Amino acid sequence: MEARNHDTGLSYVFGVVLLLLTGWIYWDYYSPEWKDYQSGFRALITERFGAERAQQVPAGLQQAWVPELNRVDRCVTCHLGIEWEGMEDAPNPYRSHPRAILARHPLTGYGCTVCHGGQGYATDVASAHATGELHWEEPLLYREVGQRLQVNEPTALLQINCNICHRYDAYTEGAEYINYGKQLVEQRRCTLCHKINGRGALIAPDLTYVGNQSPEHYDYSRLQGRHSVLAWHLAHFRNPKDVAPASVMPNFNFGPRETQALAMLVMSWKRTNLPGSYIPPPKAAPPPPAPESAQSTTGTP
Amino acid sequence: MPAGKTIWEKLIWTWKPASEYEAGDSIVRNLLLHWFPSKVTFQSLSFRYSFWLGTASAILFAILTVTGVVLMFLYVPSVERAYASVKDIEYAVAYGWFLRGLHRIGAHVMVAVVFFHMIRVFLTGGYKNGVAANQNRPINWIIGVVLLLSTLLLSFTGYLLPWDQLAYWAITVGTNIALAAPLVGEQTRFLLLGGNEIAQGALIRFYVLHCFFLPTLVLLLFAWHMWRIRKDGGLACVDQIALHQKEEKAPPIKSKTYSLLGIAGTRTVHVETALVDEDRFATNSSPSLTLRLLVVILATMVIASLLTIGIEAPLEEPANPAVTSNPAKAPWYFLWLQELVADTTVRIGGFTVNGALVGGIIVPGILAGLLLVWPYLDRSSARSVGVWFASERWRQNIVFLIIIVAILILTIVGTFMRGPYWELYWPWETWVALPRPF
Repeated sequence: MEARNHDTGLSYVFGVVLLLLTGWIYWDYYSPEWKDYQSGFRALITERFGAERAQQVPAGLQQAWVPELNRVDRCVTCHLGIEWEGMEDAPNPYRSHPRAILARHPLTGYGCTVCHGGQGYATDVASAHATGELHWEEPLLYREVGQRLQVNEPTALLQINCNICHRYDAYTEGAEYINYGKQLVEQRRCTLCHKINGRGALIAPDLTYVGNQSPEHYDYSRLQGRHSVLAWHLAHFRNPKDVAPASVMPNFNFGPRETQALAMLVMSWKRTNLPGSYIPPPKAAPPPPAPESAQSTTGTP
Repeated sequence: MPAGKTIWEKLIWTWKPASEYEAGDSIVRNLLLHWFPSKVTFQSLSFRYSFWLGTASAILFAILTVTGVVLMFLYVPSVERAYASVKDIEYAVAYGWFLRGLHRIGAHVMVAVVFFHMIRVFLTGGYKNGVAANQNRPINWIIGVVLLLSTLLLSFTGYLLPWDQLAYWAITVGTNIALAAPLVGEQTRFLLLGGNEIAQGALIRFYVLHCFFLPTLVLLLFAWHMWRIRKDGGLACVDQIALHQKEEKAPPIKSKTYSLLGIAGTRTVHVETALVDEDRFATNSSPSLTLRLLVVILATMVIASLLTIGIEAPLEEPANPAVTSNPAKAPWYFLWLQELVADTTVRIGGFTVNGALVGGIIVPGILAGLLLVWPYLDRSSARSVGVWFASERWRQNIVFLIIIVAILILTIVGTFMRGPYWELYWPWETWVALPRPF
């Protein structure tokens, strides 16, 4: 009889705990982080353009779905101002996207993460920006990552992703670091030793798809600080013998701007399986290889 | 319910059987309760004897079934969509993170609970026949061992489904152990994976095994397990009471006559069972058993929910056969085997011991074989049925505990102390940072 009374009390205790947990889960569902950002945006629109315009602000989870690129980008849930005019000076996440780039890369056709990196599926800031230590596919190529690696201009890192489509452009508008990198490759005649895009010699490693190289491929034993591919490339361009003493690559005495440009360029040289329509028209491609070097292109994918 | 009750009275509605008959009838006429006995001993009800681990594992199985069926509506078992659909469950589906987390934690806890249930049954000699007629507890122990293995397989097949790096490489490690089996190793792995590598064939096989075949098997075995408990006269501890009753000689053991059974066989079968229904030993199942069952159900749900909220379900990068995660670990309940494989791969002179064969096939094979036949090797008397650490069984209990402790130590070493490149790290040491793209 005593045990039974005990059980009645216990069942009430556990029942109440379960009820509280259920309540908490409901509360958690109805008060996500992004709701605060949405009401913040609505308040900003009301302040600038009046309550009537604020009613046009969508509510609930928003996403840019691009089946061609296999992307679902929920960034637009908080970054609501991307396509709004008059929000160019607004604080982030409400600032509108630079218009010229957006005109040629509309949200509906490209999404966000294909250029900016980050985790498109995520609906909270920490996971979406993916700059922490956890397992994220691609971190947001923005300030945090660049500052951590002490690159010359952190916000320029996203140009790596421009060059995944634009790799055959001699010059890409807006991708200044990549353009500078390409210019350096020409000037310093990297193809005298390296093979790039099927052109060049094989004295040094083929760099055509070096961006796909897994992080474990590099030797970090002589690298100070964080072990990352970008850090390795930065150190390597500063002085190749610092990270690879046996390397025959000469030291070009590159400055911080040059090292960043070249490190970004080599990291952008990746294999892609993008639909053909996403690759810019061939007129932007460099002129065909000279006859004497054309023979060496055979046998490379 | 009589008219005129206030809402409050309706809310705090309670029921107490007025007679023994009413108590028994309330069990028998209820579909959900009819498989319970009408009377239950205090010893069987106590937490100290059984810790209610078997019940907890059944509740976890129910939780897993409910969450799993909902997840089946959301998950897409294709290599192109699997990872994305799990991400959607995690971020976009209402309560999806909780659903997935509860399913994942529930599975891990169930593996642990079933394992501890087996330890409990062994240490109490619960697989032994007592004094009552027609007992066959060894069979129920074997069903239990198969249930344990099925639980491991259920969890293992579910491990692959998120199709992230963690899943992919854990299944790689797990299925590669099968390769070490002599003669049939390669074929076994091929059969399991539907090919030579983990791809769409393996995913759909694991999915069907996980969602249909293994749960059905567990459900059937569970029903058999429960039915045998009733046939064997309840938990083994009941036999102790019957034994003492016999020794006291007063009152004499009552017997039951199942004459109905005899009609078909045209003769009366007298079955003498130990019938422990004295008030000092037993109580009505309704409400004593039902109430305690409710407590265990609620407690299991509370613990599983708290763990779900407290422990984030990991989802790593999408599966990538070209990049091995480091360290690549099997699911934690197989890590004692992986650890054993690593520790038994030793080179003596020019001769290398095949660790995968020793640690992955021979040792677990011997252990599973011993588990299955042990009830027939245990020659202790009926006095050690249903008693914790019976003096008669001290030798086998110690050997059993040493094996269990060894498994636990290997599991802990494999789970918490093996870092990148399978190097040994103390818990206070930080693992070497693995290189990342940025």
